Amino acid sequence: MKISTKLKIIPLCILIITLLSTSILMLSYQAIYSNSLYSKKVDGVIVNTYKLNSLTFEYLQYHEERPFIQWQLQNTELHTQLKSLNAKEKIGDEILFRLFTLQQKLTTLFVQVAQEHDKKQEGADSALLNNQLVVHLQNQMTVILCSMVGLAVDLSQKVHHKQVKTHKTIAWGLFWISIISGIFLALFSFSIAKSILQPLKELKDAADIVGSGNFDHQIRSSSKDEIGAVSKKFDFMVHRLRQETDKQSQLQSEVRHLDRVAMLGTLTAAIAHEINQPLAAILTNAQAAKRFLSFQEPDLNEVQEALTDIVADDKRAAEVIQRLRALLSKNAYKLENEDINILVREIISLVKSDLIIRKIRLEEEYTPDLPELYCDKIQIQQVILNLIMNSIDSVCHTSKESRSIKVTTQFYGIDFISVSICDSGLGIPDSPTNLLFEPFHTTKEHGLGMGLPISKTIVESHSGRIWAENNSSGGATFTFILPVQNDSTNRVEYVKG
Amino acid sequence: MTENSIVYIVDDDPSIRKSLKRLIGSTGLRVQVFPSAGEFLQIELPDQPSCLVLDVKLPDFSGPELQQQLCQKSNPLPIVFITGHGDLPMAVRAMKRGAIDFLSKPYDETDLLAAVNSGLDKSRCYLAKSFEKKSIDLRLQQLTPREFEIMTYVIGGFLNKQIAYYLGITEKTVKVHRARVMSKLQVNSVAELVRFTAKVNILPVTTPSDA
Repeated sequence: MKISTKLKIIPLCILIITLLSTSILMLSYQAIYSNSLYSKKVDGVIVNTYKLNSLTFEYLQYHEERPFIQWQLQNTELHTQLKSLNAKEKIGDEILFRLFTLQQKLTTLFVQVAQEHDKKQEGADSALLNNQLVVHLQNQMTVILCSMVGLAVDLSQKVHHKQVKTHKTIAWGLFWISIISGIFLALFSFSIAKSILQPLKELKDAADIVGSGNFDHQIRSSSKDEIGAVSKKFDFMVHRLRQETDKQSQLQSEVRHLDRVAMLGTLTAAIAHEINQPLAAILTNAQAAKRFLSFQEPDLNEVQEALTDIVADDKRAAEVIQRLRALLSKNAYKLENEDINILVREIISLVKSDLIIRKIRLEEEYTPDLPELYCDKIQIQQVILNLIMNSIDSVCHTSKESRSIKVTTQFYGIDFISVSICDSGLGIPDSPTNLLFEPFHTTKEHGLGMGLPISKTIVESHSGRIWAENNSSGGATFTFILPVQNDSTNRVEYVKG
Repeated sequence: MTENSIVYIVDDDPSIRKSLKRLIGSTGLRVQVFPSAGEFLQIELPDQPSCLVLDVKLPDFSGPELQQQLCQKSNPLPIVFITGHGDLPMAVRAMKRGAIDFLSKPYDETDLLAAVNSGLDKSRCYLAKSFEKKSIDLRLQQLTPREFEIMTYVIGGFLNKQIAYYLGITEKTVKVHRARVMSKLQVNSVAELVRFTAKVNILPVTTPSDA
């Protein structure tokens, strides 16, 4: 169900409950009103009965004309009252019936009494007898009247009881209605709140996760309400974001690759030399071996040695090509334990001839037994190569006698290993050093200004740091540090690819 | 002569050094290898036919720089350059300074061995020349100044009479001196004397200094 529907239900429920309560109240009011009306009438009956009683006595005592007429009027009124009671309410039907009967009896008795009175006034013979009869009738009338009063009081009590009962019923009814509707509303609101807040929380958590760089996270909400729709849009957005970052990281990887290709391009002569050396040695050894074999008494030991050297030189050439191929490849990001000294040495072997041609003295200072680094070999070698190439460029602007580059690997604190490339070149110009690592900032004629920014992203993606400083004795030192205990989970995702 | 010949190899690459030593060694030549120019310069070059196989690119001196240093020595050492990445100007410079050959790696054995042999031949030639020059010098040193003076007149084509006149001595004395010169220098004719002195660049007197 949609949240908007749920939200619309709440006021509807409140409206229904209000209407229900109001109608119950109205009905109860009506019941109370009619009850009180009835009660008044019953009270009227009681009062009339008492009056009738007193009129009866008055009449019997004084035998006057006025009380007689009054009695008759009173009796008629009582009859009307009883009739009206009977017509309107059904409470105490039995009592009413008895009241009617008693009234009829009373009327009959009264008529008898009146006749007896008349007889008494006509002749006094049977006065005694009559007297007794009258007394008897009077007694009967008194009894009837008493019963009537009793019945009327009974009726009144019954009405009262009913009234009390009605009050109670209404009170309880209202009580239960409010309790039930309250609970219902509370539960309903709670369920709505839950159905809104739960997915909202999921959405927030997902946003947090995606915000921290994990674009693989999806909510996968099955709900069909508005938040479900938002969640689906969110998933789609994250998916698109993922695509974009993938594209971006692919582009970055391509830029890095191009940077490597460009750097190696400038090293072509040196690399060709590195391959040419073992090739020349192989040819020379092979020709020497051939000569040894052509002797009348071939020196097989020499041939054996020559062949061993050929194998070693061939391997050497293959290693150079392998190294080159690795650097030129578009291999995916691969983290492995690497010895930083080996990484540096491999790069040095590629640039060594270049250094010799350019008359650059190379010093290497490796701290032995450094702990292994968890890193991508090619990317770290790219950084080393980039820094060395920069140093070569820088020192080539100075005189041939003093050109030197020093490469050092050592501990940096306890948790880091540093690689420094110190040169005797021109040093860093006065411009702010942080600009050095900005893209397209270059001091070279044919530079793109991408080498150092790429190095920086690579080092930082390995949770390391890179910086540059001028030496007091001239030239500059570029240093980068990498953590020994490299937690792979801390890695930023976009380096992938 | 082959037994005395020696080939020096200077290259920073151990593979190249080893393979070159093996190849050149297979021809029966004596080979000595050095990883740097500095180490090579420290040795005393012996008086025997020798040749240097030199890598252009070395960590301390470059090949051409070493060549320049060697040129300043009296006994020039023939050099065969080998290079991984030589350019034309460098090769031209090296050849102008007297290099035997300029081979680029990988080189063929025939080229290399031919170059080494021609280097050794050149060295042998130098040695022979310097040996002859040394023996001439030795003989010339036996002459007295007067004898030397008379010799310069003789190779100038002057007669004994003319020499005696110019020097103000008797013809007989000139004759004695002349005979001594011929015997000391172990020559039999004036023509031989002329060839002999030409080898050591002794200039004849063309016009007498004082008449």
